[in-house]
Amino acid sequence: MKVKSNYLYPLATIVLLLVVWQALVTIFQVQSWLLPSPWEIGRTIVSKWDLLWQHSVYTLSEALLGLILATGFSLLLAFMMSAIPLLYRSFYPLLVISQTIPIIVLAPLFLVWFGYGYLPKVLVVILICFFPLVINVLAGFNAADPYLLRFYQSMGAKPLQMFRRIRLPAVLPYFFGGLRIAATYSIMGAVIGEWLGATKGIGLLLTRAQRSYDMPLVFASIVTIIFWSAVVFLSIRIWERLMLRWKGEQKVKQKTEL
Amino acid sequence: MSIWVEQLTKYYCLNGESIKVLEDLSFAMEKGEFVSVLGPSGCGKSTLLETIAGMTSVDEGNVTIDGKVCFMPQNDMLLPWLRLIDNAVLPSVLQGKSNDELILLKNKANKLLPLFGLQEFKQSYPHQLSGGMRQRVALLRTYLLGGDFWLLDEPFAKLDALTREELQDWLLQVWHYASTGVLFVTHDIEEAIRLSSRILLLSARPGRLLEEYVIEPSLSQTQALALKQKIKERMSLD
Repeated sequence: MKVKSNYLYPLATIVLLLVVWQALVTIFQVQSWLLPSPWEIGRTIVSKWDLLWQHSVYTLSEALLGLILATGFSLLLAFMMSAIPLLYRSFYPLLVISQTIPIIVLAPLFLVWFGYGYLPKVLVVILICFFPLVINVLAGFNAADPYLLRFYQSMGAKPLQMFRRIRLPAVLPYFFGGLRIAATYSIMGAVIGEWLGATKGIGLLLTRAQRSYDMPLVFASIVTIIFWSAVVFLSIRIWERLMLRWKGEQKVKQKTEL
Repeated sequence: MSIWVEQLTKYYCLNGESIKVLEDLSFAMEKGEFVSVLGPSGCGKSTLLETIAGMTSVDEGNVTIDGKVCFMPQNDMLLPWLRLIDNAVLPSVLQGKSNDELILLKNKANKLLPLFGLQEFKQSYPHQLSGGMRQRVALLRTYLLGGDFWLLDEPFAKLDALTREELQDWLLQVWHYASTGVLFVTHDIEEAIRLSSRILLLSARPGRLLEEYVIEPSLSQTQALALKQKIKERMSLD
């Protein structure tokens, strides 16, 4: 019952908003190049399905590659930072400062340095996904109860086993918390990368449609971005549920709700 | 096999200040004995157990142990991502024991489940168990270490009265079965009288040995009440 209503309320709200939107556009006869109706957006999605799909594949691959690389890189850095205090003290402020640089300023630089190809987009995704992952994993590495560690150490536990059996599993909930945020940002990062210059991708489609005042296609692209972000987010949620089965359902929710 | 504590003094460092928690404490116990350490909260009872367990160092005096001690802290120390049996054999896993040894140990643990009243919970994670059940798992873990002495730090402090009484009876049963020595820390006078054959009464911080009471196994209800009164009076005198 509870699970059902979790989906029911947001779905009902969306449907209601769409109905209001449709009604307003119809009643006031808003021009389609200004604001298309949901119905028209839907029709565009169906008719331009091939186009949207082709560009989606490109954007998705950039986002996923970036996300995977960011995950590996942040795990490594977080582990080293938690193991070596000097590294932590030198890098932590830098990490935070790096987040104050607007990505929209960095992306054109990447363009200059790496051209219009695949690489600058992946770099933007990495840059965006990196931060929430590192911060969360770091918190996870510091979360292990020192008394518990000392207790098992006094019983002759081997350092490698301690890491594998205690510290690593303790990081998992934090890791997934960060990964979920990073995943939602990943598609957006790829789109931002494509905005500034690309040969393929939803971001490119979006800018082209915008320049030719093809508003239905602009909205169709936005819906596509939302759709893929949701798919990535939900896949990670399912993976998280599988990996963290030892937590009660309720507890997972309370601790990691965005 | 025995434990000797001789003129043990222990300091605790808090905000750069050194606080004396135990002062000139001496006692000895044999394997097979059930000894309670009774005292007000914060009198250094837990520190005493941690010192005997080797988790912290001895500042002054001597602790000599002939045999193997196994410590069970107040918190159950269970890992939430491990099922009951895996939690019970965790110390051996962490020590890097071989797979064959672990299988043997798990078999042993499985055989012990009825004695520990955990049979139906074999596949459970800690969050699915009640507080009393978790303490039983923690004791099973302590048991499987195969020590000569168990150091139990207020194992029943967080439980409700009914569960506590039930677990007290059960603990005596397990103790008879395992025939180890138990050093049992508590602040509950009744619990100490009910369980132990000897009570070491500690003062408020810094913990000194105030009195030692030997309890006859055939203690009647009225005698127990009288003893409780006597201990209470002694504590208020301090």
